[in-house]
Amino acid sequence: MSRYREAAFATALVVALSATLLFLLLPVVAIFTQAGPGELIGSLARPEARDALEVSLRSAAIAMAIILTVGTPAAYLLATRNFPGRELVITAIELPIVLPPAVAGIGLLAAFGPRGALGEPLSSLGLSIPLTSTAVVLAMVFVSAPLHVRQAQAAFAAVDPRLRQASHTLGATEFRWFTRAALPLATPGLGAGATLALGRSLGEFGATLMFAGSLQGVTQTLPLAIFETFTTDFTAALGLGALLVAVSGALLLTVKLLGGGIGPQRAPGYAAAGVRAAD
Amino acid sequence: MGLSVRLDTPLPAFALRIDERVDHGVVAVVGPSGAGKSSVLEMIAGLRRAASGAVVNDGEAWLDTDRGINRPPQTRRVGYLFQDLALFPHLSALENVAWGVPGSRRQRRARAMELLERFGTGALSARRADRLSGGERRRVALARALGRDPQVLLLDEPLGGLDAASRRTAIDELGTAVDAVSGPTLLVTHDFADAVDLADEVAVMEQGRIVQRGTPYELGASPASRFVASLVGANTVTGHAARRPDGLTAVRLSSGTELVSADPGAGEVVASIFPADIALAREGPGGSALNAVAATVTGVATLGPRTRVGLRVPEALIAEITTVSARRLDLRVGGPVTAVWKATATVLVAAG
Repeated sequence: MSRYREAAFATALVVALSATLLFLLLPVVAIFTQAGPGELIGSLARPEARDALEVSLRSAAIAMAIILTVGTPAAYLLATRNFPGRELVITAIELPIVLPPAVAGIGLLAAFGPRGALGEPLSSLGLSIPLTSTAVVLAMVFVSAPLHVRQAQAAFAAVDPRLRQASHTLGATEFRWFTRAALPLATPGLGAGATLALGRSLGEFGATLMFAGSLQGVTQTLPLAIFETFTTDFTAALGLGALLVAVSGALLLTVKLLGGGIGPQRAPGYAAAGVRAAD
Repeated sequence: MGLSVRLDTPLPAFALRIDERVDHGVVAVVGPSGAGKSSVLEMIAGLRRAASGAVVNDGEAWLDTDRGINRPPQTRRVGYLFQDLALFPHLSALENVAWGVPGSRRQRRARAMELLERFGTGALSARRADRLSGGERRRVALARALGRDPQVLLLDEPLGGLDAASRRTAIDELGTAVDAVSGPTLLVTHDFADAVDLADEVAVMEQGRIVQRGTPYELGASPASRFVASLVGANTVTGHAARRPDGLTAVRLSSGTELVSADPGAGEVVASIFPADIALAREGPGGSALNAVAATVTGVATLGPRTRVGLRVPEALIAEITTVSARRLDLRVGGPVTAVWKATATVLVAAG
């Protein structure tokens, strides 16, 4: 009986994984089977495709630079210090993850729009953000940064706190510890966070459409270009879709390879779980 | 010269209250797990906050809560050997040691190499710390602890989890580290044997307090409590003491068995007898030893030339005799034997 159950359970696990893989891969594979090589090359030749690709890559690169340079130290602070209201801060940072894109778009407009909270001071400086390439970057940062911060926080928290203490007793500054030890030790986790954020940035659609519009060559990213082409030319949209899959997949692979995220990975929290006597 | 440590701070289960001075040499703080030993080291190093107290080294206050002084760990010149060694796993042995060395990059690498060589690990300088064996990691950690030329050496369970063969090597290496430091060494361990092997002086810690401090010999000769007596390896039994007409003290155990001690005592006491002071005989002796107690053998364990024999009188005792004697006595579990020792070997300790 118990052996039969064990076998059934093992089978169920395999079936579940197969079903997950099949369902998640099917649409991706379908894009490539529906759009032949001709369509793919043809779609690349279209000027709006090249513009969209450029806008997507440039905006995502700037967004990632902002997320990594600001989000990483912020995550380090959250992971290593305890302060009143810490849980509240963490929840607030995670909030955009669960917000619908439409809410994100309207929120960004309410904050940076001409009649928004910061609209007045911005326009007095001669700045108007909506419908600009800055708006694309802001939308990407808003929806993606929480993914990186959350992952980075877990990665820093998994670094054995004893090592930091050792560094302190050896006279090293906190800055030296952060740059020479905490960062390298957290790199796999940071890479995973950056990958998630990058994927989310490249796929950003709803908030960008509402906040930045869909101006070819300025704010029209690849997802927006797909949406606009799809209403008139399904085959061309397929080609753009294939392009986005290829670009995203290549970036994902690159970031994972750079961050050491591929290969045997330790589960988060492993290093912190080192057994130690309580005294 | 010297380090003085006064701490009064609540820990989760009890308050840590110590007031000790360590002038030179090696002092071991010995106590059971959870006695607050590691907290003492952490507070000296500045890794853990003390509610109230002072840590003064060579007249320099590292901590003085009355004067609002609490220097960060970076400015306290300690060499800290962590229980799990805490090497930076992503750095080479050399980079680990150089981490604490002040000066230019060139000076740091030269000094780190010198330290690694002192511990016989110069050849491993380029190897990543997470690729080193346990013994190599300990040597690198010791070299690293000396990197900033510390004035005080703090060792947390430095012999923890070592087998007998590596233990001897580790003791020598720790001696090298101790000699390299100008000031005193403070180590914590739960094992009295570690303290005997490493320290000049032992401070026994129980529930956040130092209950007795002295050389290992002094602690064995006159333990201040039952805890200290059992820590140093003596048998401890409780009983009721009364003065005998001949001036000695009789201790009646709850089973009715009576022991004789040369120590004065009255009322509830703990009698402490070292296993090696107990001799075994087939029959009651007519000799000079005043204690001759009928016992049952409960276990026999031979380790080379020495044999430890578990006894029931019916209170549990352990006797340690030579293996030659044990063979001659033909000890069998469950068999009768007489445990014999002098009245002076029964040390009386106040109960509690």
